[in-house]
Amino acid sequence: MNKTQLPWVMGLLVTICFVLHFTLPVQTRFALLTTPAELIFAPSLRALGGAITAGFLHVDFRHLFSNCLMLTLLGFALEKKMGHGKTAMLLLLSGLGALTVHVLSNVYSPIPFLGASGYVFGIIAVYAALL
Amino acid sequence: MFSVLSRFTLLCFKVLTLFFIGFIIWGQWMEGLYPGAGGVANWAHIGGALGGAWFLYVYKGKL
Repeated sequence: MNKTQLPWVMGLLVTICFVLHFTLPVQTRFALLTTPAELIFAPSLRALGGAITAGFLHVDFRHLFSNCLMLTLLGFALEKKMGHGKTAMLLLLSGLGALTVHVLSNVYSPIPFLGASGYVFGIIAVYAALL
Repeated sequence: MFSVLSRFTLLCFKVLTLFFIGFIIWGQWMEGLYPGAGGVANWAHIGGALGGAWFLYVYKGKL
């Protein structure tokens, strides 16, 4: 792959995180969230949508900044090495892994899903393996 | 010079990896002390890393 190509998949993810953080009011952001119990015991499209959307939302600026910093530093380099398709697949699998383990390990937790940390840790794992 | 920089970067990442493992263990310990604290998120972190491992398994030899 040409190394000058723009890593737009990772760039899009970071942009969406920033845009949602600065355009949605805090109340709206928290209203969108889903808890593991809601997803397991009262599954609905809204609950599933909330769980997916939560991967792009953050509690505060520090949370947003730390996640996006790692996505930018490691994710951009990884996308240049692997290509867009594989990067999108990595994001899908790491997001799915984070969601599944979070639900299974916190079935009765009232704490909702929030943050792009699942993507970050998937990227760290692949980056460390490819070093 | 490049070789030294590469080795230094590799060392930094090894230290960072250890830091993250420590962070996860710390989170689980905190979860025991204060239910509902950081450990909840750390399971999602472990899940994300497992997703990364899943990706490596799917694309084994193609990266």
